[in-house]
Amino acid sequence: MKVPISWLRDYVDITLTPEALAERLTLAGLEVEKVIRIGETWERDKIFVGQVLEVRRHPDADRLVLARVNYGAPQPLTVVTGAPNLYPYAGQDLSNGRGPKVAFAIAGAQHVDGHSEERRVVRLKPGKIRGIASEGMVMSEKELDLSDEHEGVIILPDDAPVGAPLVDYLGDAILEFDIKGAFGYLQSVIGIAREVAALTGQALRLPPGAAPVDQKAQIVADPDFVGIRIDAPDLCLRYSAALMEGLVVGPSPYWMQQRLLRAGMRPINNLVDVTNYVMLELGQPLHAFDYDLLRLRTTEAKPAIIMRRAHPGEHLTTLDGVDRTLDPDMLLITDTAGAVAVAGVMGGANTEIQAGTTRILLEAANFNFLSIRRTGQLLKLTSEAALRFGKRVDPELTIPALTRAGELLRQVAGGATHPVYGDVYPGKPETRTIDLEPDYVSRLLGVAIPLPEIVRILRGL
Amino acid sequence: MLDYEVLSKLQEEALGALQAAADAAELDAWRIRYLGRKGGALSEAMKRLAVLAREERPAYGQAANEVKERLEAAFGEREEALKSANLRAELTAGAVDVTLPGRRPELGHLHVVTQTLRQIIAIFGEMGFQVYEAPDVETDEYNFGLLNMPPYHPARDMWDSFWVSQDDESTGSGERLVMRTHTSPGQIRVMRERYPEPIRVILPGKTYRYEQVSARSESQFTQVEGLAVGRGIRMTDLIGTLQAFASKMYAAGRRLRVRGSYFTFTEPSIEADMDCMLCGGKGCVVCKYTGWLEVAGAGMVHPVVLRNGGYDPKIYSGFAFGFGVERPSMVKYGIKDMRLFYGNDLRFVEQFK
Repeated sequence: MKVPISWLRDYVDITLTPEALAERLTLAGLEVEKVIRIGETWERDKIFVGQVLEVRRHPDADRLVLARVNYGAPQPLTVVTGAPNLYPYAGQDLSNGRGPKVAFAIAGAQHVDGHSEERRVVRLKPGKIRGIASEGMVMSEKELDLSDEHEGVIILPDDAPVGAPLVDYLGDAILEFDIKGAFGYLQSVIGIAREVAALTGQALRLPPGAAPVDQKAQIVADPDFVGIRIDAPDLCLRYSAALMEGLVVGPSPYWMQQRLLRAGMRPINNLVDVTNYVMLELGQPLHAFDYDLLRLRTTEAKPAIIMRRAHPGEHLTTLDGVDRTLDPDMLLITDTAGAVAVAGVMGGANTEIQAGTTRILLEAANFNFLSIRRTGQLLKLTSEAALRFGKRVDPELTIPALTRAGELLRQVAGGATHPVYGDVYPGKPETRTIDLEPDYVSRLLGVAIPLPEIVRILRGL
Repeated sequence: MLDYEVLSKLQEEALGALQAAADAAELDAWRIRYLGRKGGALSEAMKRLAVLAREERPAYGQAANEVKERLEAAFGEREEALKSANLRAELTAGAVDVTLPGRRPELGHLHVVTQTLRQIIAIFGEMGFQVYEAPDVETDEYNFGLLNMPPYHPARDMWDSFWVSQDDESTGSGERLVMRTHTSPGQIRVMRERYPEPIRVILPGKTYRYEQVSARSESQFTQVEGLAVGRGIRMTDLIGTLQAFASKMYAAGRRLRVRGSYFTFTEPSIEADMDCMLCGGKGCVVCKYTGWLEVAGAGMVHPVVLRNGGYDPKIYSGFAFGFGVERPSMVKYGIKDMRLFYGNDLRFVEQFK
């Protein structure tokens, strides 16, 4: 799993360098295989956050524009650029901070040659392009060595501080973990943050909605928008669902896309991205059904979600377009018309999010982890969700994950959460008290650890 | 020409030719030529008797007979001489020098893995560990289940296994058999056999994994497992044992570093590294510039595993460790390719006499 340190900092203060943190975590048993640096080569005195003040057409070229860029210096610089995503700004009034924010390089800046097929590092030389002097460069992802994207330049979010070295704003270090065993809670940024907090003695901050105390919604077994029935309570420990309405599908914001990319996932659209984002953040996989497609499948007043074992020979076309034959030990999510998802592994194509989706039924469930692994192995199908469910996820996470997703969908897709959550929870584990004699700890380890220290370590986790 | 002259000439010629005959074939040719009954030179000379005057016949006959006798005698001598010359030549050619020293028969020697293994066994032997041998083919239950890994448990991902195909009736139990993926199942076997005695054993042996064979990994390799069970066994005992082993095996004064780790059959689990004996921890090619070399995966025996072995975790505790034999040999001898160990190349094998 990949965890960007910039994301980790949302939940815990980090004073160690990425390498020192990686070492600390590795010694504690969370093996960091690799530290990947982003922006290591961006020179602090040559590559900045800039803001475009004006865009004009090039007098002698259709495919070029002139952009005047403020990068914090007393005098803005003018550059000639062919970036198509700056054309629409030509002739617009960009005064009072309305211009797009960009990554801006001045003369001498080291960068990747955007026009070269193979990766070539060059230094920026000012020069004339079609007769007009270009005094700097607005940069693409390829030129910053972030990806191969060179179609347009990066447009930075509005909160980017003009004049700051780009590396301070966009630079990052990503920790790549190799975590063994059945520890679903470590397959998330907050799970890792909790370990970091315990190891370094820092406090943990949870995002709004993610803490159990935040739940304001009403939680009922039988909400008016969906019927939930669990026919295989040995395989499905809990099924929680929320209805989100008034959504507009589109790309998710830059910050969210960046976080998904840095954590190793591909952005799709704002709805799917939110489900993935919450999964990465909390470790609870979510699945979004198009609610209207679900409704159209039957004539019932409200869709019924039934968790049951597959019938012999039953099959389903999953989101990856493959028709899969299932066996009777596999858990399915179905309605009265048939299967809509292979539980915990992959959703069905029949209820997939569409470009015009406005309502989704958001599922946060918990399954028997060995069963999910068996299904994944037999179907030769892995997914980020199956990987996490297969390592045992805390069933208490479903409602916080729905709350958090609702909060994010409101921000990035304009939707609102129906105030009632559906929740059926046959597998609620009993609260267990584990007796740990302080004496046993020192007897087993051979090292005396004072009681307050034992308490501090356990509290931190 | 006078008849007698012919005879004496014949005798002279024949005696000369006889000296020239160098071997049995030439000698035989000479005999046919001069003494042959039909067409031999002397038989031809005898034919003269018929044409001679009666009074001359006895004298000629006697002379011819004398020549014949002389030639036959000479032939006999020559034949003897050649035979004894031949014998002498044969004897000289095939002579055996019985005073030469004997040739030494080639002795085999121990494979580098066996050598290393014996060294390891000796070191642990000094510390009071016995060798316990467990089977290479194990049941699913011993290899995984009793070590806290039920079917489909994610920890099983750490090992891809070779399963043994079998017909259920032959074993009776119908249990799946597997080529052991680690030496750890032996832990259960020792515990069940020795309970309630204290245990201090090492379990060396082959292990098998269904892996892509490469310079870094083989599908079969050798492991050494260690197990100590008794009252009051602590993690500090484990660390001390591994430290003593590292110093004896590699070089004196090794420092040990302990990292947290995860195995289903130990809790807590650790990985032990030692400072690289080649660079002293500064970083070099052998330790891949980390300064550390892996010594073993280890931990305190999980209470469930103790219980599976028959020992009550409330009374007993234990430690276990395990490591491969090929990897440390690679470090020790600078062997760069794992495949060489079982590659049957004598140029490799002969380097470790």
